[in-house]
Amino acid sequence: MSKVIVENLNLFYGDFHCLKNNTLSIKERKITALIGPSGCGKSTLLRCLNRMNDLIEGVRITGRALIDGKDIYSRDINLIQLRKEVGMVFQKPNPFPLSVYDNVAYGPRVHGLYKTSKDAMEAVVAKSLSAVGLWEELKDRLDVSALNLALEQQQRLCIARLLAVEPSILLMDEPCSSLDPFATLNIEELFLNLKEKYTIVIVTHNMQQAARVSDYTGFFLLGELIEFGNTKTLFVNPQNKLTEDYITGRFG
Amino acid sequence: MAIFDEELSALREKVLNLGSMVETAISDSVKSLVERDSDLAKEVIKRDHLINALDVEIGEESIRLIALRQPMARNLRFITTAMKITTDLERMGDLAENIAERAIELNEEPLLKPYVNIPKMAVIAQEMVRGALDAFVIGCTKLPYGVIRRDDEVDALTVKNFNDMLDLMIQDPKIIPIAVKRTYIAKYLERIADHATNIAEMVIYMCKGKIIRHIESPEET
Repeated sequence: MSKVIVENLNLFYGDFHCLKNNTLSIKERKITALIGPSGCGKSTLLRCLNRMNDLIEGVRITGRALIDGKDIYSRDINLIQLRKEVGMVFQKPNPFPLSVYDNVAYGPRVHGLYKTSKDAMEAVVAKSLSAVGLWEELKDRLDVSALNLALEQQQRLCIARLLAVEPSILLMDEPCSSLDPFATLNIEELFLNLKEKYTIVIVTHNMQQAARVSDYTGFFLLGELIEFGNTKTLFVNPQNKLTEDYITGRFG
Repeated sequence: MAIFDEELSALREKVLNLGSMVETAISDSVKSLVERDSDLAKEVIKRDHLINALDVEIGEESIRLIALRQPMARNLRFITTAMKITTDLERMGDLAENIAERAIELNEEPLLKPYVNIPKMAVIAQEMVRGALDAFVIGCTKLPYGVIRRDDEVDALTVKNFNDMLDLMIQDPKIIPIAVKRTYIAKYLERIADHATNIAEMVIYMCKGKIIRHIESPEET
C-alpha cells in the first residue's frame, strides 16, 4: 500500500528548476532509497515530504505530495502535526545539548503530551530508547549530556527523539555518512527493525547501503526521477541506461 | 573507472584464452582418435593442467573484483557470467581429456568401422563453443540462441552413434568393449555441447539479466 504519493512535483529555487515533474509512490512499512549524484535533487525531494523547503526563500513548488491520501501542500494542513507525523534524521547527529532523557522527552513536551503523568513520559522515553537499541546501555545514565555519547549513539538518540512523538514516516538524509563502517552496519540493522512499524525514506550516496537496506530505489539525475523500482532489480538489471551508467560508476 | 574497465577486459581476455585452449583440446582429442595418433592424445592429457590452472586464476580474479570493486548491474552480470562459464569450459577440458584417454585405448584395437558420427559431432560441438564465446564478447545478438538450438543436432548424432554401435554389438558380441568406448566418446561430445549450451544461456543472462535455463524453447527477445 502506498503511504506517500508524489505527483508531478516541481520545485524551483528562484529561476532554477530543481525538481522536474517527479512522480513516485512510496510503499508503507518499506524502505525506499533515493540515490543519485550530488545536486540531483534527492535531498530536496526528501525535504518536500515534511515541507522543510518552505523555510527557504524563493522556493516555489507545484504538483502534489500526498500522505495517506491527503495533500500536504493543501491550505488546511497543520505543519506542526505534519512534522510530528514525518520525522527527519540528518547527516550529522544533532542531539540537543541536554541530557539523554530530555532529548527524548523534548518532542512529547513540545506537543504537550504526557503533561500530567511522569510515569507515562518515562515509559515513552524507555520505549523510544529501546526501539533504537540504546536502553540497555543508557538506562542508568539518562542524565548524562547527549553530547558526551559516541557518534553512533548520538544518531540512535536522534532517531529515538523522533520515535517519541510517534511518527509514521522517517526521512533519513545521509544518516550514516558521519559514522564508521561498523556503526553504519548497526544503524542499517536498526532500519530493518524499524520498518516493521515505520515507512522509511533514505537519501544516500552509498549505493551499497541502498542495495543492502532498501526495498525500493529511485535514481535521480538533474532533478528528474530516471528510474524507480524494486531494489533487487535496479542494482542487478537496471532498465535505463543512465541508471546503469551511474551505478557502474561511469559518472558520478 | 578506467582501471576497472581494464581489469574487466583482462578478465575477458583470460576467459577467451581458456576457451581457445579448450577448443584445441577438443579438436586434438578427436583428431588423435580419427588419425589414431596416441602421441597427440597424450599431449592433450598433459596439457589439461594448464586449463585447470587458468580456471583457478579466473575464479580468483573474479572473486577479487567482486570484493574490491563491488560491481553492479552489467559489470556484476559480466563477472558472474565469467565465473560460471569458466566452470563449464574447465569441464569441457576434462571431457576432451576423457576422449583422449579412450582414443589411446581404441588406437590399440582394430578399427571397427570408420569414424563418421564422432567427427561430425566434434565439429558441431566446437562451433557451439566458439559461437558461445563470440556471443560472450559481442554481447546482445541472436548468436547465443543459435548455439542453444544446435544442441539438438548433437543429441541426434549421439543417438545415431549409439544405434550404430548397438547393431555392431548385436552382430558380434566380441567387439562390445570397443563399441562401448566409442559410445562413451559420443557421450563426452554430447556433454561438451551441453556445456556450450550453458555458456550461451549465461551470455543471454549477461545481456538481458534474465535466466533462461530450464526453459524448453527460450524466446529471442
